[in-house]
Amino acid sequence: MRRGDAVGVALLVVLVHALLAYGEVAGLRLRLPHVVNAALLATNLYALLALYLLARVRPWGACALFMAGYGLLFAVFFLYNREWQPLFFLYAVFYASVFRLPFAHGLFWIYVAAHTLAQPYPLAAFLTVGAAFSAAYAARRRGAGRLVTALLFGGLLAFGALLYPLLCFASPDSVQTLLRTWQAGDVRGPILTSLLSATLSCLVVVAFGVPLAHALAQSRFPGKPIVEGAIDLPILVPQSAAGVAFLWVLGEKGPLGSVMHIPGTLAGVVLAQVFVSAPFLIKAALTAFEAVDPELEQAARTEGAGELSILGRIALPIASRGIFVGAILAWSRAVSEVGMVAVLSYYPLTAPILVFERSSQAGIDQARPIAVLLVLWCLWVFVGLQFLRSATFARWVRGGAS
Amino acid sequence: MTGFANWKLLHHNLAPFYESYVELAAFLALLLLVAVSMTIRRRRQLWRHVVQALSIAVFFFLISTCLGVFGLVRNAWFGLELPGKDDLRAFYWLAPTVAILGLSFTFGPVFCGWICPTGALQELVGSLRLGRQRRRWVRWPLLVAALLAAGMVAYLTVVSAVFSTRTSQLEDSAVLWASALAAVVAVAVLRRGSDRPLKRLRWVSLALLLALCVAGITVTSPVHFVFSNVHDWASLLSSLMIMGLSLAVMRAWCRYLCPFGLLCSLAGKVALRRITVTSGCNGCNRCATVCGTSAIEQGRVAPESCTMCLACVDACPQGALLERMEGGR
Repeated sequence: MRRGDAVGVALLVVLVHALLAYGEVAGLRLRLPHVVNAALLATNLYALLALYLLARVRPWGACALFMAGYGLLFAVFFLYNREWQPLFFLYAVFYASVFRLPFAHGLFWIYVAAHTLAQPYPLAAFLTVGAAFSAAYAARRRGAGRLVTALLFGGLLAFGALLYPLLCFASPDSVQTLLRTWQAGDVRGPILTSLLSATLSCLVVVAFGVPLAHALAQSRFPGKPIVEGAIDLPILVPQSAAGVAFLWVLGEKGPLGSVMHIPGTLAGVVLAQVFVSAPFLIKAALTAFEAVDPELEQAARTEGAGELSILGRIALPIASRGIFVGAILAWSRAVSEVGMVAVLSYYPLTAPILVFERSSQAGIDQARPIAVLLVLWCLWVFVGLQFLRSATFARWVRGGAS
Repeated sequence: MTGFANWKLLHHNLAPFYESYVELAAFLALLLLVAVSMTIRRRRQLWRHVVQALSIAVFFFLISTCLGVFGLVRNAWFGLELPGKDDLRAFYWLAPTVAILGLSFTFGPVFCGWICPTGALQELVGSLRLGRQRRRWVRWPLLVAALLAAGMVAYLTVVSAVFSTRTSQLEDSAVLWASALAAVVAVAVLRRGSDRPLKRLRWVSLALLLALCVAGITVTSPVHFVFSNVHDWASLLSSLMIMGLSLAVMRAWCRYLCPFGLLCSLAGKVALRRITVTSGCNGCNRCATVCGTSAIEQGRVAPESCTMCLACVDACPQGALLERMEGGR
């Protein structure tokens, strides 16, 4: 498009808007308030300028696409529904501005789609889909193939759909509401109990799980596959069933119940959490120990290192990354446990049980702020631990390499 | 400060959208001002000041639309949830931000250099600085430090003395940000070469502002009081503080703490309109001396701190600096 053509088209646009404004005088039935007409004229002229600038650097196909998109925006937001008209100006100006920038352009359409299709929580939808898009776009820019990019986008989208409710239900709460809930008192206790018991059970699991994993990785015996299968058993057994089984043994009439009183104490909560979270740590630690190069240990042994020093100086440091990941998983699993804790040791109340109790007795509205608080707490601990992991181990790896 | 009253000359809408409370005049005025800034070629710096004066006249006295540098971020965040629920309100909260940022993608951060009242006021005060005063100051760093510290203490004292309406001055973000800027300016004046690293503080400012937005806490910029009907002495003083600091470092707020300026310059980085240096440059460094934000180093314009005022282009004796559209012929 040459400059003269662009000016011609601009004059044509001005003429059309003059008709819109004074059409009634000429006998046409077109009605648009002068102000709205002026804003529309300004927006159209800006879009025309953007199109003109686009045509200088891009082939005609891109220009046709630009016009198609602009027409779609106009049809949907200006003609289809008068209530939506204010949005047209915003969308049109932004669309014309970012059309040539693929990343911003993609985000723009995601936002438009989110607000038209994903009511009443458009922002949560936009953030989820936008994050997936950003990741896929960044991967593509760094040389990922088309298939990988598409798989990444699709997979993240599906995963984002899983997380979408979490974003939605956190959004209506302001920080003030959450602070009030936190200060209400009857919520703080259970959340602290949850954090404490999860940490304790994580420590217990590490204390017996890591040596077990090391031993399993080092040894060979006939029943080993069965033992390895049995480690996964707590994942398989329904938690309520496991709770009943433990209660049968530890309850007042049970064989061990007369010796110790575990149900209804913090120890009971920890016991339940240890049961459900142990497989995650043991599996992760087992994989980590198996990945340790046997030749390294062999070399250390020929140099005269004892078994304990091989474990402490070679196997543990190399496997520590995997163990730490397992510990994070175990903690996360422990803190979120409901079923077995509810059966084995309902009190002292933990936060997930409080949420369950409130939602079934007082309703969703009462349970939601507590649930949001719980999620936020767990999220921060989780993020903090992950951050610690990447920070610490990145340094170790760098230190080892130099 | 009710005696100050409201200085908006109009108490009804200038250009309502279908007889609603939503004002289209601000949207139109912004587009118009940018268009004017694009077409002017001769005596450009003079016309730039005319446009700035016009913008102040329009946005201070006629239209109640907030062009505050915090408001533009805060309102947009607030408005992002609204489309589909209340489109009219969505437009009301989003329009200035979308128009400014959108145009920045095409024309660069024109808003900062030509329209932003906060920037214009700083430039006005900053231009009162006589000659090359700054260099003489640096000879006595202790004196400068003492002066700035005394100014900051005096400022905080005055603010808290006249501050009877609120419980604690810590509540007022305008005061906090203004004092933070005083500290930053002290570092900038005393340490040569700290200008560039200090400019990264805008990220901190933006992150803080966004965090407060997400938390639902309303914060106001140091120069907000000229836009809205908040008439307290603290806000007036923080505005004066920002303008006064421009005497020490030109456009100090824009350089070091403006969150919206950061957004505009991010858009400006990928903008079609750029300032390019052609082969005619003989390294006289005149452009760097006229630049209000010290964005030019060794004949290269850093888009992250450029405000598109085009002073460098107009000042170049060789005519070697050009502003042009990408792909232009």
